Amino acid sequence: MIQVENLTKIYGKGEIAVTALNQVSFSVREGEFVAVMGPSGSGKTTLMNILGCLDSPTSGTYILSGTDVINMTDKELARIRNRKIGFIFQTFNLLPRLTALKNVEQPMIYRGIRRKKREETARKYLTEVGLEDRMHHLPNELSGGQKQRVAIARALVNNPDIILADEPTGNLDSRSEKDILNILTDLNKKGITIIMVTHNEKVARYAHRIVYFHDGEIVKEEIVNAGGGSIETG
Amino acid sequence: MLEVAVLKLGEYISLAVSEIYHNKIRTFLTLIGIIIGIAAVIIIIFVIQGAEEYLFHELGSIVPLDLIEIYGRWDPDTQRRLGYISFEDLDYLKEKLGDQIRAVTPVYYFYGDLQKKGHNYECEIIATTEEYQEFYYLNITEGRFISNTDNENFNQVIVLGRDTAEELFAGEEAIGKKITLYDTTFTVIGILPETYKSPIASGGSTGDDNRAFIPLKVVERIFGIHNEFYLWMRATGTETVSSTQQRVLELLDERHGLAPDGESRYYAYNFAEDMEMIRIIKTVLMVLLSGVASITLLVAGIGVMNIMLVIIAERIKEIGLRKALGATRRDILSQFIIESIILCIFGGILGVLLGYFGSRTILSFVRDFVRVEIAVPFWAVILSLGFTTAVGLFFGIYPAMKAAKLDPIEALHHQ
Ligand SMILES: Nc1ncnc2c1ncn2[C@@H]1O[C@H](COP(=O)(O)OP(=O)(O)OP(=O)(O)O)[C@@H](O)[C@H]1O
Ligand SMILES: [Mg+2]
Repeated sequence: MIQVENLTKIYGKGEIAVTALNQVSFSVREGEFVAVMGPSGSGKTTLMNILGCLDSPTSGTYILSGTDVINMTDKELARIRNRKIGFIFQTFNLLPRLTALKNVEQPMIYRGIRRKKREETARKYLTEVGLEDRMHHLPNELSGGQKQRVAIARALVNNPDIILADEPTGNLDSRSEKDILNILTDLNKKGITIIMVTHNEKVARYAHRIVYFHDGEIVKEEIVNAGGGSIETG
Repeated sequence: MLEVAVLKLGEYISLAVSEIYHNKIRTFLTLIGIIIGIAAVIIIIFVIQGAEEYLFHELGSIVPLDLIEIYGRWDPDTQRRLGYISFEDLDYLKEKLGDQIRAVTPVYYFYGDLQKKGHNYECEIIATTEEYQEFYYLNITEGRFISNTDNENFNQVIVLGRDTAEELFAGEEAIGKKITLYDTTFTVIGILPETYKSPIASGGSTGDDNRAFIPLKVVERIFGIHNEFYLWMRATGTETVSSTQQRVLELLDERHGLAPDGESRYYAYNFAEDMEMIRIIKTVLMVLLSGVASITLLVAGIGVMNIMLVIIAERIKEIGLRKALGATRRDILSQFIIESIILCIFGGILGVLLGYFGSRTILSFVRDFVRVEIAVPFWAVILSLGFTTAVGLFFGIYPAMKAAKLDPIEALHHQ
């Protein structure tokens, strides 16, 4: 599903240049649930941004579902972000003026789905994450856990292959954390590939595999739950 | 493809409306320039257009605006006319012009002394035919107007204006009574009602109740004045006046030949060409004044650009998020251009409303004089909204381009 090789990302130039990723090679199988851990500044978010086609590496290759995404145009990348990838952020990133329902509809607008169909789909996913009675609430009327569930519904509406979650439980209490992790586990069981950044060892244990970063390099990999994902052939 | 564009457009519009709704005061302050600019344009157009309509309406009540007046040119050397018009000419023109004219009548006017039992009264005497009524709606209620039979039989009959009748008969029954004009006896057959007095001018059939009508043929036979009359014609409308007038002069020139100086023996006059001049002056005035108001709008547009830059700075995170959700540069560009346009159209609508109520207020001051319905023309509303759309588009492009070019990561991780 995901194959990166010798991925390097350098921010800035000369004296102030920061190597956020240094020759990272790593792959994720379809249906796998991978946790990424590492100290602050080790390059986790940088990796997620590149995997999510929001940023391009300084060098290295990135093959997503068999296609090279390095040289794609803005329009092609936007299309991938829209259809293949769902983002979940630590700070939820909901649009404050829009209701939960409208927030969830947004990715479908860029896909050109009609209003009625959009609403129907958004309702379906909000119900799936247990928010059927919060559809018309604004983000500031929702708890942290509820906001993150809205964000998950939003990540799901275009049927993505991959979910990229950067510290999805970083701002949540332990109960909401559990809810969110259970939802992610369920999604993974339905076949969605998940890559999740976390600082919490307990959280990381929900994944099949934990990848440890340090100073822009992978320093350790650990299988925690065997059997995750299908073996990629070729 | 088109369907997707329309779908997105609808979404961007509703997003923009929601932003305006959430920032009412700021939006209003930003739009004051546009509101005042548009209100000024609306009021300027209303006043100028209204003044023109009022003027034409009043003129129309004084004289039919499709009137053509034809008469023999006066030669200052010989102190005589260079051309004369006879009843035969009249019939000839009528036949040749056919549908090109709606009405034709000869008119001869002079001042004369009406006498009744030693009481002398000078007034304007109009010698004409039954067709005169095709030029002015006389609304005669007492007795009748001159008929064709009166002309053919040289009946010595007279129709009096309201003031003339008052002066001579002072409330007595006048119809059937006899009065004299230059020792000739006339029988009163009708009295005209009081006419409308226009505030802008008087003349023609209106504003003047001090006159009397007699059959033209009586004037010709009894006073021996032949072929001295003016010919009045009505074209089919104000637009055809010039061409019809041209044709009449050609026909007369063919029949009577040119004057010794090589010019026509006849002279024609109409009001329609004067009206055209008024129209041109009006348009020039309107363009000039609206142009000045438009400068206000351009200045206001800079204010809109400024607020759009502020809006975009405030919503950097939203832009980053939208890109993460799959928005292309073009999607972001469209969203903010639409927002800028909606903002301006909103200002335009408020401006139109302000202009409309301003116009109504002005109208309420002059209501007593203005008999014609004047209103803000619909095209002025369309023009105003079109202009504000253009302002929104023009001044929205730069901020929207800035938004579209934002780096998704930087935008998303902003603040
Ligand atoms: N836009 C940027 N410009 C310059 N340097 C950057 C930029 N973004 C990240 N960096 C640097 O790159 C390195 C990796 O950052 P990154 O955000 O990937 O770390 P992280 O592992 O996600 O850390 P955290 O756990 O704190 O989120 C850091 O040293 C950071 O300072
Ligand atoms: Mg990070």
